[in-house]
Order: sequence, then structure tokens, then C-alpha cells
Amino acid sequence: MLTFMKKDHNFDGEDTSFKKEPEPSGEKQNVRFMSWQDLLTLFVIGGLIAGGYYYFKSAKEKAAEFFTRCDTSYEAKDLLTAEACYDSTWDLGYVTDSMELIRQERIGIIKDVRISQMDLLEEVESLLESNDTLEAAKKMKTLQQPLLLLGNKLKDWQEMEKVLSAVEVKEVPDSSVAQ
Amino acid sequence: MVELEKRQQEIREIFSSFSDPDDKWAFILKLARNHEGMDSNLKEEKFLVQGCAATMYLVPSFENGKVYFKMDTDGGVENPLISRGLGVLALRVYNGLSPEEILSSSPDFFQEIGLTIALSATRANGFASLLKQIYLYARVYAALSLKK
Repeated sequence: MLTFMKKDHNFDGEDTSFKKEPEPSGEKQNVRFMSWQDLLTLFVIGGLIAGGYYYFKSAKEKAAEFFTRCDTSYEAKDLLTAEACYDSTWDLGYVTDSMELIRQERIGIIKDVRISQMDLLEEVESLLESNDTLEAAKKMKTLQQPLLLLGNKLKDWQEMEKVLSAVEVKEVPDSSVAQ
Repeated sequence: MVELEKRQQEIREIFSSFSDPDDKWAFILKLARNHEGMDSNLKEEKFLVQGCAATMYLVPSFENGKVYFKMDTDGGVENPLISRGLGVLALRVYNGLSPEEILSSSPDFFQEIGLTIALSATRANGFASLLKQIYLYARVYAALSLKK
């Protein structure tokens, strides 16, 4: 405990702590409010508070900056970049509730679009397996960009796209897969 | 000599043996008349050759790594035997080959034997559509078999 807090106070009786008894020699004693250790401790505590404040402030700014970047990509329909961006925000030290909601919702939407594109690929492949190249090509053209498939699914899609590029599709149904 | 080249060589020899150009067409008509055709239940819309003036069906199947085709045309004035005969000729070249063999070959072979030059524009387009569909199925089977 800090020195100045350790001073005895007689709250029940007469307060004698601030009574200045005259020194036998007649000189007044020099009473120090805090020792240098107290000052150092207070300085450290102050430093920690200030550091914490600045850390919090910078984490808040960093989160805002990150989310602005992710939102821009998402709104520009650059969904793959947006997804990677939102995923990278999991490492942030500070995220507000509204940011959290946006992140969850948008990552969910992107994943839903990807799943619907996986379904579309399955349908195209199934049509090709039944030798219906025209319907497969029509189905493939119902995809709404951007293509969000990854890895082998992306390779399969590109392969089918290459194969079916030779099919002339005159009428494409106006049904959208990607919402 | 690989199977495809052997088949092409046979057809080349037959065509070069005709002294009269009309014999070429007589041969194609004969091919058409002798062609068995296919069950009517196979004649689904999805097997219609797009861009072919005649109503031509091309039904592919893939067995043991080879592509097999069945081809037929509907009868009638608008579906003359010549289209059917050309289809049979195409099948003579491509039927029962692997997708890779088909894709490694060039459809220019039919130009080389002087067939497409003598065809009317509509019929030439129809024949080109048939060849395009054969190559498309080969590409599809190549892609699907790669996946498995």
C-alpha cells in the first residue's frame, strides 16, 4: 500500500495525525506526502492506463479500417476478396457487435452462394452424364457472377465451361442461382 | 497405324476409287439406306443435332473408355437420305473410339476427301453441326472420365 494511504487516522477519537507537535529542538518536522516509490508506482499505473487506452483506441481504429475495406469489397460484389477480408478479421483484438453481425451475415451469404454454385455444378454434370449437352450449357449460363467455387470444384467448373463453350445457347432462362 | 487413321484410310481409298463424282453420292445414299437407325424411344429432344437442317438424332454412350454413337434421321422430304448417309459416314470414322482419339483427330478429313466442298451450304452446315456434336460428346466424356 502506498505510504500516504498507510497513515493512521483515528476516526473514533480525536484526530491526532495532523497535530504538529513542536519538536524538542523547536524545528518543524518536514512531512512528505508521498515517497519516490509511491510516485514511481503511480507513474507505472498511469502508464498502464494510458497504454491500455491507446491500445484500445488503435484496435478500434484498426477494426474500423479493416471492416471498411471488407465492406467496400462486398458492396463491389468482389465476394472472394470480401470473404478473405472478413475471415482475416477474426484475428482482430476488438470488434463491435454491429461489426460482428455484419461479418456473420455476409460470410453466411457468401457461403450460401458458393453452395448454390456447387449445386449448379452438380446439375450441369448430371445433365452431361445423361448426354444433355444443350440443357447443361443452358444451366451453366444461369450462373450469376462472381464464381465463388474453390479448389477442385473450381477446376471442374472451368473444365465444364470449356467443354460447353462450343454449345450455342440461344435462350437462357432468367432464373438466378446466386441471390 | 492407329484405329482412326486406319478407318480414314479405308474411306479415302473408297472415295478415290470413284471415277464418276456421282458415285460418291450413290455410295453415301447406299450407306443411308443400309443404316439400321435407332429405337424411336431414343429420339429425345436432347439428342437432336442443333444447327442441322434435317431432324437428326445423335445418341452417345460411353462404355469401357470408348464413345459409341447411334444416329438417325426422321423421314420426310425435309430429311433427305443424304444427311443420314453423311451421318453414317461420320460414325464409320468416330464410333467406338476413345474420347482422346476423337479429340486428337481433325474433322478436316472430310474436306480432304472432297465431301464438304460438294455439299450445299445448308447441308455442309448440318454436317459441321454433327461433327461438332461428336467432338462435344468426346470432350464431355473426356472431362467426366478425368473426374472419376
